[in-house]
Amino acid sequence: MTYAPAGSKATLRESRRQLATVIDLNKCMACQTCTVACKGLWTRHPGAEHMRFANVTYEPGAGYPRQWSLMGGGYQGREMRSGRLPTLSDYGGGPRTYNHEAVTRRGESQRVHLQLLDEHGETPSWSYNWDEEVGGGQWPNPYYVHLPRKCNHCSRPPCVDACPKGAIYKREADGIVLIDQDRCSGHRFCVEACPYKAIYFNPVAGKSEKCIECFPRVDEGIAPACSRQCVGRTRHYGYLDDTTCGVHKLVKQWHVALPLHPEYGTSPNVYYVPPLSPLAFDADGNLLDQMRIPNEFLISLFGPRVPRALATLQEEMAKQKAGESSELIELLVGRVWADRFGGFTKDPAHRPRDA
Amino acid sequence: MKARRVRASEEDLLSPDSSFWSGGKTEFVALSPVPLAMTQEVSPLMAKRTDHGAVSSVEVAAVHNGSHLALRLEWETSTSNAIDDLDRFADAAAVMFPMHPEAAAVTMGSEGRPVNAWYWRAGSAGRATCFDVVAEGLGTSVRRDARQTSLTTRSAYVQGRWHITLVRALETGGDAMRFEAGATTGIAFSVWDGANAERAAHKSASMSFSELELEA
Repeated sequence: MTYAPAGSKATLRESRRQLATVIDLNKCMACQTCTVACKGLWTRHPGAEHMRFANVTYEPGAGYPRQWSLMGGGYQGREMRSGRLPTLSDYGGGPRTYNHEAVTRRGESQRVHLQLLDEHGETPSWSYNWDEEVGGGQWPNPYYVHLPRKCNHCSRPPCVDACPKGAIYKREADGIVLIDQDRCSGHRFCVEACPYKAIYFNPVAGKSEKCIECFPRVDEGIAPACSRQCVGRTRHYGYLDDTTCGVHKLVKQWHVALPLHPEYGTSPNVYYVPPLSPLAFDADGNLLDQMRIPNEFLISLFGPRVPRALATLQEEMAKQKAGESSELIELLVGRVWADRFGGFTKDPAHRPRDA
Repeated sequence: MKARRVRASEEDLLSPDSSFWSGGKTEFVALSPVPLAMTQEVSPLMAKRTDHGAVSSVEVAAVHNGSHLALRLEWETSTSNAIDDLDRFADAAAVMFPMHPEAAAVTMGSEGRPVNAWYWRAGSAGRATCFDVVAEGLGTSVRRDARQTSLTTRSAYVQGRWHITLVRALETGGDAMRFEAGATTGIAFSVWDGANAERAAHKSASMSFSELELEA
């Protein structure tokens, strides 16, 4: 069925196919190009200042919004799990600026150092990526992982279940989860229900907003901006059931791309290739037979299939090193840029004017 | 409940201090927490709530001037609340009328048995908002611009008590409730306590329609 406003949950949840994203964490350098690509397209309107539908944070770390993974939501078996809502300060407040005036024009640079200022001209105590590169682990084995996130366009979306207005639905053709802005009343049960906190309340509009998977681009065969603009070639995009597409191969054939927090029970559709890391040191600087990023930590993010995925990556890397060709490694390296997007390769700059 | 006929301008009707309010009888309407188990299909997350229904009674008075109906609602609540952060909810109130003789208040009507409501919500810096609402059952409510039905409201929070007046023309055309002097209709009430994060069906309500007679 196509979207019926306030239709039954079964109808609203239904989709024939599913678009999905794979992100290779071995290559993400947290440059925030995805964040900016998205921000510039979709969240520049009033009330959206705090929103970053695409964002990259550091794990272990508080994340964005701050402590999102401790806020509840998702499912526990068949039951929906209650949670709490983030405050504006959990998102790092509104737009930030710097004291450029004092440092560069008033000649105070010998006394005043460059610093971030909040909307009241004060030094904030928290902001987006405040804990950048803090990470975890003890000397001599500190570690962190860059974690790019966006809406997971879940196959079992708790936001759809939670909305008392029937305003949230999956598109039948591709599983993109959207909020009908005409029906949304801003009750925010969806924000509470989303364990990834990928839904944002707009206090000016009095409605909730989220990643729309760049659907106006997708409808014209253009990959979402966060994927297309990624300079690190970390992302694959396409239909999960398209056997020719990198997404399908990495998730379904090679089993090296895993969902974030599968225990939330929402069947998310952004998949991550977990990061390999150098060998850890002992206190005397000798190499140990374990990787610096602890397996338990990666398992806490991506579930129990992490060791198998890492082993596959290592086996295939060894093959490639030995001079054999590995389809998996070629896929992840991504020599041909356009191969990464499952056919969604049109250039947005060459769209017909009347489109 | 009876809406006395008074000689008053539309502006006088809106003012909670107009002298005719003190002359008339007010009624205390008991409110109880909406039984959210019935919303399981609409929102299993909302259906889990058991902490709602913070406001247990609302004091109501009604008058009309032959062209406009005015309702005054007052209730006690220890704080006034607006959406002043992303996790905050506003104090709000609504009056609802059946547009079909068999429309049920507790479910906000049902298919083919619509209800019409006037909804008021507190805003930051005193900027309250109001909507005209139509619904045909749980989860189907549609908010419409209050200007479409000439609904106006005024509100004040004084010493732990909200004072709200809602005024609308008896006849507005379209698919909104029609009122007639001399006739009796049903009326139901809801109050949301913002401090308790009440919104949607997570609220206090009078649950069934009582009678509202407009003096001839």
